[in-house]
Amino acid sequence: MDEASGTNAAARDGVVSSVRSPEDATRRQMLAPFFALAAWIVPGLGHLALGRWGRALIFFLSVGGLAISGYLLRGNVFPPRSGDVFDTLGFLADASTGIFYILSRFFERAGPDVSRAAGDYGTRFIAAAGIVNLLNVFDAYEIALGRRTM
Amino acid sequence: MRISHFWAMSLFALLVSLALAGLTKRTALERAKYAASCFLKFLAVGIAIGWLMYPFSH
Repeated sequence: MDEASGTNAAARDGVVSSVRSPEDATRRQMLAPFFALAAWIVPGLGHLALGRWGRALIFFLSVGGLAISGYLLRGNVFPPRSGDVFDTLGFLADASTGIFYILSRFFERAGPDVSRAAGDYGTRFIAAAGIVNLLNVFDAYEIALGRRTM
Repeated sequence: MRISHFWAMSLFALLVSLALAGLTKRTALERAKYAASCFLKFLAVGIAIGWLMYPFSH
């Protein structure tokens, strides 16, 4: 995609601050890990910082919706330390939701209940939220590096 | 929160479809079309697998 069509596409996406100069591009490339970190901590924040507010809103709603639904369904939230490999993988998926992992204590005060199907679904919802947020992180990183123009 | 299996599946399909549309498409119209298509395919596949498993539940 050439630069002109990339700019047009950016305008369609509601891009507020697209790359204007080589200096901007270089600065974004240097800050790419910070955009990725921001995207992990608050889903959508990395894209918001990159001026992709439409994508930021979509990621915040989808990751937040999945995570909070999972907590309300009383899904299992895996703790950081466990002796089981699968529990560790579960923790990694859950922790990928960023701030929503910390908010799990607020939304799921009664604790998990996987004796019912809903609780089991909730566990999957929370893990899916983490995976979607990982996609969000990689996307923000790639956009900052200039590898992804769409 | 009490929710039926179908609504849980629909909610999951809706939110994941939204994320995939946001990730892969650029304009609002493209995103809406892709999200709707993805959502319906999620439901269709979920219901089809449900019926395929039905004989084993008895």
